[in-house]
Amino acid sequence: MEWLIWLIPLLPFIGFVLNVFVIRRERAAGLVASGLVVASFVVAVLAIAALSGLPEEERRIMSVSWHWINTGALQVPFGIMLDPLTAVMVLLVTGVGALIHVYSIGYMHGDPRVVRYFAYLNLFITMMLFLVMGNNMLILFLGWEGVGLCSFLLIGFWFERAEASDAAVKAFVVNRIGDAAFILGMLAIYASFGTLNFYEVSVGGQVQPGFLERVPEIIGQTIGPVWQPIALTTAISFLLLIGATGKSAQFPLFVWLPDAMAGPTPVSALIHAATMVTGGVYMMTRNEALFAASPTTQSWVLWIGVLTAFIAGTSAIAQWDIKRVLAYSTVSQLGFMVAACGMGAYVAAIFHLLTHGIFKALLFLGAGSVIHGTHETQDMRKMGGLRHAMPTTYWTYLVGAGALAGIVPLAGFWSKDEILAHALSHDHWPQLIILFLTSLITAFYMGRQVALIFFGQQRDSHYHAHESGRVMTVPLIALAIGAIIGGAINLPWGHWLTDWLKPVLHEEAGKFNLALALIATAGAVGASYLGWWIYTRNAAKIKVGGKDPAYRYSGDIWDGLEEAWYFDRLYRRIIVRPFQRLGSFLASVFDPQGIDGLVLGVGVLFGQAGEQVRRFQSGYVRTYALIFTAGVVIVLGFVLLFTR
Amino acid sequence: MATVIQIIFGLIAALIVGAAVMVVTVRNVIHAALWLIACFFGVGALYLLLEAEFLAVVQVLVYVGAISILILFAIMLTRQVTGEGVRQLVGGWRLWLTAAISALLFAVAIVPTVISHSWNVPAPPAPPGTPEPLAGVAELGRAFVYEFLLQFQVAGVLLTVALIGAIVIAFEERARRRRVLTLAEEHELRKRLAHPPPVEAPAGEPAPAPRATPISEGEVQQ
Amino acid sequence: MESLQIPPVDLRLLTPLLIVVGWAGALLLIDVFFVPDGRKKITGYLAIAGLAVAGLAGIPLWNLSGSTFSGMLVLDRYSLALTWIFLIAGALSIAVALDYLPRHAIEQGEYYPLIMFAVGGMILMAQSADLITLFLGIELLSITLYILTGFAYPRVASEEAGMKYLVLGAFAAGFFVYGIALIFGATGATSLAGIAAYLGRQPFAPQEETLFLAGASLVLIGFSFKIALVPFHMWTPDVYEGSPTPVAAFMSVGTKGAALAALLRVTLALEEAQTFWLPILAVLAAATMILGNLGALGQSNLKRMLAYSSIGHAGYILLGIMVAAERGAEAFLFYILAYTLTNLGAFGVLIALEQRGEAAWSIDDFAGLYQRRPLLAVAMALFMFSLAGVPPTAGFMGKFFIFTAAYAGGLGWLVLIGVLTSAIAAYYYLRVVVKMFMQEPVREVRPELTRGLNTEILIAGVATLILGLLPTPIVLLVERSLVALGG
Repeated sequence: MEWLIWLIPLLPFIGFVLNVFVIRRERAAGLVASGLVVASFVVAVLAIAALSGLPEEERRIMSVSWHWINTGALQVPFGIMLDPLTAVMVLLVTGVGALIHVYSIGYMHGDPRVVRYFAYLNLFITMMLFLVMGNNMLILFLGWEGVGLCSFLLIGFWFERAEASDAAVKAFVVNRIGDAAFILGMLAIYASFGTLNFYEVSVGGQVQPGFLERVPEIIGQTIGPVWQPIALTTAISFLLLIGATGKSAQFPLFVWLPDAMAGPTPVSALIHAATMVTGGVYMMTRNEALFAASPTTQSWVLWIGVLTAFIAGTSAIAQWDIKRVLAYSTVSQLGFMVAACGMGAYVAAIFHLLTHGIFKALLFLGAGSVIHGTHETQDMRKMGGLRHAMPTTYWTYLVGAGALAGIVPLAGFWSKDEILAHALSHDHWPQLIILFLTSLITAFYMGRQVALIFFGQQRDSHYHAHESGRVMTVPLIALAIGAIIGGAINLPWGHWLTDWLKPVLHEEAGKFNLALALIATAGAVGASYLGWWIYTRNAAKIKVGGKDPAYRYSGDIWDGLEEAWYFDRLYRRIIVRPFQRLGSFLASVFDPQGIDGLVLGVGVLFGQAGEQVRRFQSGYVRTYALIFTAGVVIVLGFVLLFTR
Repeated sequence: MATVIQIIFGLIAALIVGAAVMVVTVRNVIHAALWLIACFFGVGALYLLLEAEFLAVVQVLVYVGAISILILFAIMLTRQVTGEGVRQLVGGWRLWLTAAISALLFAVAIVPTVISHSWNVPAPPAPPGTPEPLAGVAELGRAFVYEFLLQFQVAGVLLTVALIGAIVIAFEERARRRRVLTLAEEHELRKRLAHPPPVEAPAGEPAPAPRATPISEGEVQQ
Repeated sequence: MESLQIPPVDLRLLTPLLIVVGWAGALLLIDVFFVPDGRKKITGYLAIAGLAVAGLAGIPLWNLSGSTFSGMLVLDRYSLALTWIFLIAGALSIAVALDYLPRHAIEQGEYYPLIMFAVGGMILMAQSADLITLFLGIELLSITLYILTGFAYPRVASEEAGMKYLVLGAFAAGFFVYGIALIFGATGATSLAGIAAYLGRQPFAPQEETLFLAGASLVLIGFSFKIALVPFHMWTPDVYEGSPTPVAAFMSVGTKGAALAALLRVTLALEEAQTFWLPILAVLAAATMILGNLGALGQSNLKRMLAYSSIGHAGYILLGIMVAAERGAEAFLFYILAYTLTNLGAFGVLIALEQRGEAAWSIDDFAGLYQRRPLLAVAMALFMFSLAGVPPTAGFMGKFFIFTAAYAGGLGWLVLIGVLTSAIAAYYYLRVVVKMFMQEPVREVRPELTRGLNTEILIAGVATLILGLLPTPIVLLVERSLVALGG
């Protein structure tokens, strides 16, 4: 019966194939795409029910379909698995994915390329499921690249907007940097263990080992030059960390995520908040054994997470675009998860991943509803007072914002508190202080956003705001319920999630710290009230295209925050532009401007090329020969001088 | 005896190198071709010195007899470039400097090699069964049908292909030649299409050739 | 008069070669006397049939191995596998040319036999175990390519390219021959076995053998020119751009593949000289990967971009050669196959977009292709992703094999360069995808898809996917093909 878990990724894939080759009509596309993802969700629930019926230490269903690679030295099965960790990810992906598919039917209604949209979305779900279900690094990488590809296609989906295709390319290229490190990490794993399987798997009667079970074997081994040896575990886990910073938009590679908001809003909700960007966190959690073996990498992970949370959190304050606030907030919350991984609190990371997946999807869909209801308005300066026009959106958004801000008893409170409590109980003081500050900032900018969108008077009367249709509000309500009760899966008294993940992560439940919880709650309530108060009081002063009320007090710092600490500008200056210059320099030296005339030979043959031209032209063959000769000299010199 | 041979070798080598230098330096192409013949003769003499009479004969027959004549014919048929006024190489100190440097570097690389190699070590004894070293026409002929049969055949195929190629390239009917554009002209055209100058033929028309290379009437038959 | 002894020759060992060359020769005559003008496609079909027959004739040889012509020519599974790859490349190049030539008014029956002769040269290179035979193979291939490059005579650019290729090619051939001469001077042999025996007889001490080293360097330079390794790559973009596109496609996979294959055999045979090969090949590979990929960044002409990309790919393949003794050879063979199919596919799409009388391979012509020809655009995207090395395509598998082999072989820093440069490469491949999927058409381009072209793109596309998803059968085949090499 193991093969049944193949249905989970295959059903969305069937949707993709149908949408590409068969379906031409919008209605059919939406129904088929959503229906198949719902079916996949149902299968996943059934499979997980079966999984939970197994005794605790045997909770791992593996299914291998064929030998993907089978050479003497390298064996990679094309196999997927379902274990407790994968199970929660699968539930998140298919559950939130199904809701967002349904929502998209309403949101994308009337778009000329909607069939393509659903095809991409189905492909994305498939690839994301491969990412979380793969039983070896190579399948994980297949999903990893696949979701990157879908993300690229979907960010650039509305390519009529100039920024969309640029943002798509930026996302893909930045991710490739992380992927390069990921590939190297994978090669290093293969070179050290001779396998890429996570766990032992038997294929066709032969048992292949898994590297996670064999990590202790390489502890103590080093690589690198004699004068600076590096522990092997550190090298591998660090490479994987770089890979994760790309996919999960961490410092210093986070710059692509805010731009990725150029895609349709449901895409932002699904890919750039709930699922794909958590791929890095999932990958680190899966390889927890490797990371745990290297304290060096762990502290890097911790600091990268903390810094990202703070930088992105502060940047979110100063945004005017409704989606960019959420984008920076996503980066910031991903920072929380990564920091949790760095502290070794993997359950907390996964817990936060789940609750964040729900309430951030809710916020994005709410933002989509606002954008939809205000006729494609994204600038919050043009909004205001929308709570009367769109009550459902307002109430659900409020729930999401409360959850993100960490208000008791919403889902975000419990998961964030678990991370902070872990930091406290393990004496990570500096990190705790920064994370705590960041959570106050989070509460502040959510208060600000709610005030700007829903309170005061509508500042731009060029549109008539209206509530979205049923197909969009029902997913909002469903997600809002999730955001309210989602914390229940790992309450300090029940810690059901910790127990569920124990076979994979072997972690004990953290201690609940009442004092910290009280302080955090008070801080969250206070900060969000402050944000709400400032921006409702000053609502009248906010003008379209104008400055923020807080600008008076902070001055230029505000500009810096608005541009996310100028990272984009920095990269443009120190990386992009030098590369462009190098490219054009190389083109001018090694590729003489498309041979503006190379015709020595033909010129002589036809005898009619002008003197002027010929003199110019005769240069090139000669130049090539000259460079050739220089190469000969270099090669000969190298060989004769250095190899003897 | 050895000294005499070395002196003769030196003379011949000087002839070859000198002639070769003249080939690339004289202005007149016909003179260059004649110097080339001298160079070929020198190589033939070198073969004689090495007691490879057959090769020497072939060298004279093929290179002096056939190739040089071909070159001279080619020059005569393309009269435009035979004039003394045409400079075959763009002069200038930069060119000479680069040439000198690369020649020097090459010499630095190759000369010590040739010098440091111990040339006078007798060849290792050949394993039994290997054919006698080649010397005369008979051995050469035998080698071609025995040891080097394959190479001989392949060379035949190769020459056939070259012949066909010559025909394909050169023997097409003149009427079928349509002058289109050189690569350079294509580039320039594309550049102009991308940034059309204010007054110009409308883009998309059959491309007028750029000014740089005038095209004679007979060739434009679009 | 003594009677001449005809040497013992086992002609079975070179059946494919004989069939290809013989058929080509016969086809020349058939073409002249029996195929009427304007129906030269018949010649093309006959040529494809000939290549197919040669491929089939190779099957019974799978379990055969041996050498003939006094050890100058060997047949083993390695050469047989390469032979098949070359036959596929040749057949696909003919398929795309069937309609290309008449459309560009350059149809001449000689095109097809010439491609066959080139394939013959490639097979000879794969089979030769002797430097002189190797040289003749290279020259047979090269001379054919000089002609084919200049085949589109109405475009003067084509003649320019042919001329240029000829001049530089002759230049490089000079170095190659000089190298052979120096090696012969040092070792007294031109056969790989003889040279290896010499190197093995005395423990090979490079410092004593400057003559051999210089000769080997020059031979390596000759190879580098054919493979287009930096800094011997200068001719590539110009020649690709100038030559007819089917020829460029053939050249990008054929010459490169054959020269690399021969280089692999030479380096494997002369393992004692590893201390010499490795460092210099490492430097060349690094320079090639970096400059090839950076060069492609600035190109807006797709043909030139593919030229630079092919330079970069040669660098990756070189990694496989350097660790040929340990699993590198199989990675090498797999990569060659994957690259051949993918690149031929990409060139096929290029040919579909090319119109008579104009030479527009501008990347802008791809704008909005998805709207007009969705399947063509999807196929092109597949090829681009395969070249960039994105799973689950053949290109990814190839890179993965090469990099694992190189990493395990201790070439960590080269793998680092390789992975980083392929990250850069993603950028320029992606630009094409962006154009096709995310832009409106700039100007009217009507892709012309004919039967030959359709077949070629289909075969290449399907193979690219299958090699990515189910590489195992091919890998097993490849692995078995290397038994004889001891790899």
